[in-house]
Amino acid sequence: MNYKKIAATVLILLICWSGVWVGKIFLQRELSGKVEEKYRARSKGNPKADYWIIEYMDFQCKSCQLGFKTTAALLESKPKEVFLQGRHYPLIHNHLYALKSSIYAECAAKQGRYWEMAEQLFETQERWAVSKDPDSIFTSLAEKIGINTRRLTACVEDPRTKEAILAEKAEGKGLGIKMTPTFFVNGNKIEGVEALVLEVQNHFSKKEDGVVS
Amino acid sequence: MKKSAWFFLFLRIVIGGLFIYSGYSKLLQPSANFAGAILSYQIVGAREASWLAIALPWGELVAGVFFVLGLWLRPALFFLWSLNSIFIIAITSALMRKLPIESCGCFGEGAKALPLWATLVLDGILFFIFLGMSWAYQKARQISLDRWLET
Repeated sequence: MNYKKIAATVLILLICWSGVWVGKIFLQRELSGKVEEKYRARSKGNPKADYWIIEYMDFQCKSCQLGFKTTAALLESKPKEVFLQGRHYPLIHNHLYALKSSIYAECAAKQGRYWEMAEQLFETQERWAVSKDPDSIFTSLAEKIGINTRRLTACVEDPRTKEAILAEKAEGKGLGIKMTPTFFVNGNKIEGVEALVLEVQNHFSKKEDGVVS
Repeated sequence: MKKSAWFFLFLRIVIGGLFIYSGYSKLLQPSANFAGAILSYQIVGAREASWLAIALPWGELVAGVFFVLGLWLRPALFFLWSLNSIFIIAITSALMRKLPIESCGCFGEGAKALPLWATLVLDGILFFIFLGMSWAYQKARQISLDRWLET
């Protein structure tokens, strides 16, 4: 029996475990807090819920379309237990109208219609993503959900709207976002819809088992 | 000390380092992220994916460290070689079934995921490196904790 080897093994295992523990404390980037005034129009659900999801999305991203439906279905099934917030992360170099669609969604938010506009954008994504005149489509979607188009146009043309969205994206980049959709579930970064579904299933099954309050 | 000993040490550091980085970066994230990636290969179910998402990164990290240090080198080598083989099988299966793995999300600027075929090529190269190291095992363990602790 080589005791030196066993001791070395135990020591290295302890170092590995400590390294992960230290890394989780100092290197993990989490999102703290959920309700800030500037996001109020893009929030729904129970603000006092202990399960909150912040969804970074690009309206021209196909996976975000699925992500949006997934979180909407979750909120519908558990309206008192979940808080949901939408944030902008347009992939400008990948998607031609990512920024433009975010601008329209943001301007709809200013008139209290963010979620309706987001739903319309995702439902018609295939149409406007290949259109030569997406503005007409976006404006007609806005009209359909009762948005004042004069105020909408003024907002869309205001350079501060674009600046605010790009600032929000930069903030997301600072949190380590590399792809859309990315969700922050109670502050922890979850990438992609599959991962979100697993995370939600794990959380609510633990809750039912009494492991999580 | 022969040049080959240093060469194999260098290989162990590079390859072990890759597995350490891979395992460590996964362990710093919620396990749901890796579980989601495993599920996208459509080989195991959600329960198995959840367990693998916790076990595999630890395996990569620990085996990677042991591989670099040359402690329990033979088991570490075979464990990493097995992982490598499993990755090759999973990727080949995904490519043959044309699974939309690369469409699981839209990657941001400067953060493009490596195409699956490129990952397969890299894993294939790694497979032959492991084969070579197991064939020349005595040279691969010349500079190792195993050897040092035996004296």
